[in-house]
Amino acid sequence: MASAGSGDEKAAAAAMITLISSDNEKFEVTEATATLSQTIRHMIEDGCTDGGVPLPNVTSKILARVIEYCKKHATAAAGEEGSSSSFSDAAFLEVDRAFLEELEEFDDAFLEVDRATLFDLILAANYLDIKGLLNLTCQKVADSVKGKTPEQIREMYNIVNDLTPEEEAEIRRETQWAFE
Amino acid sequence: MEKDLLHLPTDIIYKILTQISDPASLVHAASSCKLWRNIVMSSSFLDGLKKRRLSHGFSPSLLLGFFYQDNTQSSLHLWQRYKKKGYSLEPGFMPTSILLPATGRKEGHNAVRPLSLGTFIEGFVASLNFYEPIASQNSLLVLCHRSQDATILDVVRVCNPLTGEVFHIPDMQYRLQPDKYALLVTDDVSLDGHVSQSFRLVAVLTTGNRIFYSYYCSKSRSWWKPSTSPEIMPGLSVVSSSASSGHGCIHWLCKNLKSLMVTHVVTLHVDSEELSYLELPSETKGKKLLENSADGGVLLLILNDLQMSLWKHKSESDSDTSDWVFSQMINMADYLPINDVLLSRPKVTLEIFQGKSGAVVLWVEKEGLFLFSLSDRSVRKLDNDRVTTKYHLCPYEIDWVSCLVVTNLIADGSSSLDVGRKKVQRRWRTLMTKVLQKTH
Repeated sequence: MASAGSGDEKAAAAAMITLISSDNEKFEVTEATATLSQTIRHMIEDGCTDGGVPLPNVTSKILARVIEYCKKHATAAAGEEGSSSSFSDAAFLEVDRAFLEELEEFDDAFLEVDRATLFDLILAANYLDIKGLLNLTCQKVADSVKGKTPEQIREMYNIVNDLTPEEEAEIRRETQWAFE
Repeated sequence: MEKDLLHLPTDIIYKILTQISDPASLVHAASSCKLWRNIVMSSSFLDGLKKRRLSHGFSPSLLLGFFYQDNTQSSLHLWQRYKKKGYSLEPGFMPTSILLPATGRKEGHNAVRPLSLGTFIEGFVASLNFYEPIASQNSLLVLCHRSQDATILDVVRVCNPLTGEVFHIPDMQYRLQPDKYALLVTDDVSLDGHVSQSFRLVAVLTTGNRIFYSYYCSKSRSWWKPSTSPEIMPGLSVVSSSASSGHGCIHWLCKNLKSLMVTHVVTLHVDSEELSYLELPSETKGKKLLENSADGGVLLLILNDLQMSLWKHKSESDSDTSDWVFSQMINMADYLPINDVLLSRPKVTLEIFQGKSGAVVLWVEKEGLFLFSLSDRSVRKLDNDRVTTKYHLCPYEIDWVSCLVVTNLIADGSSSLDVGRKKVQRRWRTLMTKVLQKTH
């Protein structure tokens, strides 16, 4: 299968980028992997990645996870030929279903982390502007409040209840009927 | 653990809140602290919510319950009972929240006495006698009074039990005895961004290969009849009972006249007076139901023996060939109270499917009706001593925005609600709260 696409892939694979975490650990990644981050993509376009890209907001532990995600998803993105990753793309549906399922399994396993790590991943995805990862991690948090009472939500996320007893009673009265 | 949710930037919290797919969860989240409540109640958040077509999953809390009318006895017989005992003949209402989870044993029926439609719509009660709830969409409910005498036309009413509004529909000027009424609700966005709801009530008669229809528009307040009655593709015949509606369209299943198998979906585009066809996924046997999902896509639910499968059709029009996407397969034997699965299979039939809440009603031989949630796969017993298979059930599913309006989480634009409407809203709340206290 000597298509133009695989040639491009090889060219992209040749270009390596060095990412430097806040604790000074260095990670070598392919350009295809790194450019899942819009932030890094812009840096590459501006030609300021020589000597490595310092990421002072991301620890090595989190960066390793982020790179793991990007590597997996860079393969999926390669099939889409640069179109911004949209899972509803008709072209995307053509992709082998087994691969899609594998990717979903990967995402599920990827999200099996403690809450602090999840929040760090959200912050990193936000800082690095990785749309897919940000959606995925935010959805995990959004899904976690499903079926929970306000008290359970507060407990789960260490939220201090700053509503006055009157406000709280009012909300409870207003929302109780349909939902509990 | 220093890191917690509140250390995330506000725009991330905003994003997380927009990704909550269930209104109940959103209300709960908004009730947990001031910051979240303020975000959810901000106008930009709500504008986003109104414009968004939710595409991920079902929101079970949108199904508030079921309206029903006893249609087994003759009007005369009922009327006599009504006079003697003050027996209510208006449609009843059974809230989802009072239904008990099915445990698999034949336990007691749901004990709470169901509410009636008159609870929510004042000064309308006596005139609701014998009306059947026949369709609902986005919090609106269609009631129909059918005469025994076939020469007398149906009398149709549309009301909004959530707000207590009643819309008076003039008699149809066309001699059409419909076999189906469908409700199409449109959100009209004005230039200043104000969202208002209008509806069209479509009366449809299908005769195998032709679709006759006429509709009442709430904006023009008049009935309208299209210039033509569309004809179905040769070789196909419409299954008239299979209609589902939403997003300006009505869909039916179609049978192939040669094989007598259900092979297609025909869609009537009410505005353009056109028909379009979808081929069903091949190799699908079993009873099928169609529905519209919250994002306007067509959903197909199939029950073959005890295997229930859900298919989604991608509504993007750029590729028109078989783009049904298989979504999930559920073995109902794992969920329904079915004993002796291997010895004697009880008959299970698919009765109702709701596309926004993901609610499915199934009838199990000797056991009765059950409400199954495609979202969390819970099963609740649906019938009680007054509501059984013989009752005509009409699921009452509301839309996201109505759901938030009724919880007072948002103002619905018309901040100066009239007194009557406020009263009805308060009644929904207090009644449901009372019901809840009784059951706990």
